[in-house]
Amino acid sequence: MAEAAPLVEVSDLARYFDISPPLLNRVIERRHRAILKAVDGVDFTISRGETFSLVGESGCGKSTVARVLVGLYAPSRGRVVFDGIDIGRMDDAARQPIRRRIQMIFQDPYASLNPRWRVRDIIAEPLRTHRLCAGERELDARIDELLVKVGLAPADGEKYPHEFSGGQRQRVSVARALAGTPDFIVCDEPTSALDVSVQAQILNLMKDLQRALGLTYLFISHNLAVVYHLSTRVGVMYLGRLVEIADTARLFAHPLHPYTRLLLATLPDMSMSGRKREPVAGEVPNPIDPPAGCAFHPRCPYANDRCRQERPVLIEHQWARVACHAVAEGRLA
Amino acid sequence: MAEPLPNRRPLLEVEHLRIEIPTRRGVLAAIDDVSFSIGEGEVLGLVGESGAGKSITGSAIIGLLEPPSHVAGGRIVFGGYRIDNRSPGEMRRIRGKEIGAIFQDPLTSLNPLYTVGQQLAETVRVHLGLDRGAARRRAIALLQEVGIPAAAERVDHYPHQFSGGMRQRVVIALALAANPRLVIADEPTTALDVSIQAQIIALLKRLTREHAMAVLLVTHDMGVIAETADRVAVMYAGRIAEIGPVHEVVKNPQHPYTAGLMGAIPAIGARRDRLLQIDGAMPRLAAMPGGCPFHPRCPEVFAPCRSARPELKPAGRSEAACWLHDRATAGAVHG
Amino acid sequence: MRRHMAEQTADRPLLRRLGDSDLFWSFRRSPVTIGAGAVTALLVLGALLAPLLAPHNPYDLASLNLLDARNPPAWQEGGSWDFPLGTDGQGRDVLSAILYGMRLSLFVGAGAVLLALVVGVGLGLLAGYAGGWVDVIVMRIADVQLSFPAILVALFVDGVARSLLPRDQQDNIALPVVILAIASSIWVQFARTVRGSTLVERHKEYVQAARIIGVRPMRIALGHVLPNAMGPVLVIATINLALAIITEATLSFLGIGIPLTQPSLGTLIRLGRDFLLSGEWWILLFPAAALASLALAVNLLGDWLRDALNPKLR
Repeated sequence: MAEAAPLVEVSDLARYFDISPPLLNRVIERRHRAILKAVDGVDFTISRGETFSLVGESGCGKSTVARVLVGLYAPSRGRVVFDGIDIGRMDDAARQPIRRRIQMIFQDPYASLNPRWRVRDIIAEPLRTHRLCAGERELDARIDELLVKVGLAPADGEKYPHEFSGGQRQRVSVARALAGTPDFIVCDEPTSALDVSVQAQILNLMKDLQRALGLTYLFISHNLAVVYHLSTRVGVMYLGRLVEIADTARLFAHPLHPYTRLLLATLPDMSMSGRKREPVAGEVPNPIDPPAGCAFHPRCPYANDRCRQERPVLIEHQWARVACHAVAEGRLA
Repeated sequence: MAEPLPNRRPLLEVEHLRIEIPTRRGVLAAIDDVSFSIGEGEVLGLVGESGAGKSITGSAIIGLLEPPSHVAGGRIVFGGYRIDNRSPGEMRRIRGKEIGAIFQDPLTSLNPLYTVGQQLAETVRVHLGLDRGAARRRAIALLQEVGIPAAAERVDHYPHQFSGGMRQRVVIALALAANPRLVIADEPTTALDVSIQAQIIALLKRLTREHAMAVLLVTHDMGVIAETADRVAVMYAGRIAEIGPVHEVVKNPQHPYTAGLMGAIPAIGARRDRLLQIDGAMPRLAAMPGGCPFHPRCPEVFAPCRSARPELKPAGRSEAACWLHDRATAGAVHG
Repeated sequence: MRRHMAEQTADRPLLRRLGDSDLFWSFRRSPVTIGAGAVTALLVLGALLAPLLAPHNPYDLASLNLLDARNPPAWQEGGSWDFPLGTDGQGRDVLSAILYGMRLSLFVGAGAVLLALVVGVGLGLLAGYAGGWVDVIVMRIADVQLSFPAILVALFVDGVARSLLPRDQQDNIALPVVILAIASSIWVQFARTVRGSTLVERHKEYVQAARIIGVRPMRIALGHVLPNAMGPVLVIATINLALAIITEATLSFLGIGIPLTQPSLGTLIRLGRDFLLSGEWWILLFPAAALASLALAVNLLGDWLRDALNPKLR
């Protein structure tokens, strides 16, 4: 699997947002320009057929990365290569055929479907936009096929979103994402708003579909257990940067970066083994004003002077890529 | 068990509670015959999915049911006195002083127009009758106790000057301000980042131990329950499906719904291909099935489940409302 | 075995669904609203069917007979059932004049609201969706417009139109000019509301989904955003209908609206004012009562609609 060219290749991706106060305020109140560095240089690849997860807490930039990949934002810096094509700064016309191949599933099942449209029109939209069906009959057949594929019934096409539960709405979202037979689906916390039992249904569905259709997933989540269940490889993000990338099994068994260790230590102990959780102090700093050097150093028990001044880069270390001076210097056990 | 752990006197007793909501399509039962008790200093988890009725139970206990919802049957007894039929004025005195509350969203639990010191002092003065100086000192002490650094300075800050986790600590301080005997915590960590959740849970555990407070912890997150609670009640469709010591319920679930729930949670360790899946969804209040409300989705459904409603009966070391554990009566009911 | 728990609502006939809806239920519950609805229906029906219902045609100058002038209403001495509500100074039957006048008032009012709606919703959608300079320009125009009272704007538009047109064409153009004048004072409300809703909906995930699919911005704005931004528009339209009718009456009262040959309710009121002091009160009272009832009834309906459609009050 590692031999074939990756489907998605992201190099030094950055996305900044100008959140400065209006000009008048800056002049009168002497306030400064403020730039939010939501994503500040990430590199990763995703191979065909795999599920790559990005995990992290609020402000880490994982959702922004997702939105750059699907074309909602243009990158401020860096390249995004999809199937050999540089899609970072394509104009709209050139991007159309690519849009059919990259789709997204959102977190909020209530806001991601237009409440005034019938389900069948929602699912038909990609088919109509890319003119994938030759006539109404073929369109209807395809919609029915998609509804059944996600576990709903053809008759459900006539209904409106508010007639469905949260889990069913996510199924509609999945059906819409599949309509244009995409290669790559970006899933932005698709089960975070769902109950546990419904989440299980949707996760099973996603896995089944991946097997049946050869899909590649980028899975964004803050829920480590779900990530463990679903992904082949995991990237951990903190304040706009990637701190560790590794295979799932290895990452969870032997986390290298201090932040990864912190995250895993916060997992609840469902096996009731009586293990005590030692929460690390501190909170995620304000992304508008990140700490100098390594963004994690204020909370890191292994921080030294170099960490406070020099930003670490992702380097290969054993089975993973880690951005940490302590790991690189061998100071970490 | 529905009874508190031995060695603890019951502080809160909920008996056959029924909460109804009149709508133009008829009367709906949000809670239908729920009974449990909490001992002094005990943490009882109330876990369930959306629509199960756990939040409304918490609201009923603290007297904050939104009309037209109202208690239509049963009773709530706190410290030996009945509290479900008190006047709003009496409930106001009990709220805060005897029973504290922590809600999910720290952003809306705090008044943005007053400093945290003012809000803490207000609670303390109303319920403990302290003067301004003493109230302020207590406010600072409370902030220190919940782990807010530089408390003497931060007491004069406004809520928006705190981060999410810090704000939740302030909310906890507010709940604790008048030394209540019982705290209702409704999804206290759901809106927070994962690493902060761990901190807040540790704080809650420490405080409840130090103040010998009882806690009713309402949440959908089984992980939080497993960490924090002594006993847990699993709710489904307005009723309790299973209740018992947390160890037991998590490792040896007796009710098929609990088993399904535990199987649906992805766990780190053994890598499974598929998660256990319960088809369908929780029934809506207006479309409650007859008999056991879980029967349309239950993998072990048999004859009596469709027609008769099971009561909580001993099952293993817990109690479960399931005909599988009450075969004697099941046989009699269904013949 | 997969079972889906979807409801069976799509099969029932539309009328039953409407009758069963929350909207209709809240209508039935309020006697004031039912009354207002009944009055509105009565007046609108009367106005629409004026040619059939009116005993006379008040616009037909040839049929007027000065001898019939100033007759009191039928139940008074000197009146006759030929002219149930009396006649005015030129022999016009007051009842017929009211029916035709209401027709005109409703036509002008509805026309103005419709025009204002199309322009206002269109500009609001454009400003909200495009943002940037377009938004700034449209909103500043709207702000300027709002700072002038409605009547003043209408007077201004009317005056400009009259000065531009030759005298003999003025009467033909009078109706469209009045509609334009009134609409220009109303459109801003639509624009503002729709712009606000558009700004909210634009960031919702279903719009993002459409962008990701590759739907063109125009289609997203019209197909996705507009249906969701239209909610308050119906309420604004209803309430402004009452306002438009009154504005038209005011313009006619001031003598700059509809020409005398086709009297609207406002004109009738102006004419009736002259006769009040000489004792022929019916010439003023009945048109005024009709105008007041229509405006009040429509206004009350608008109030009910606003409350009924407000999801927070349900």
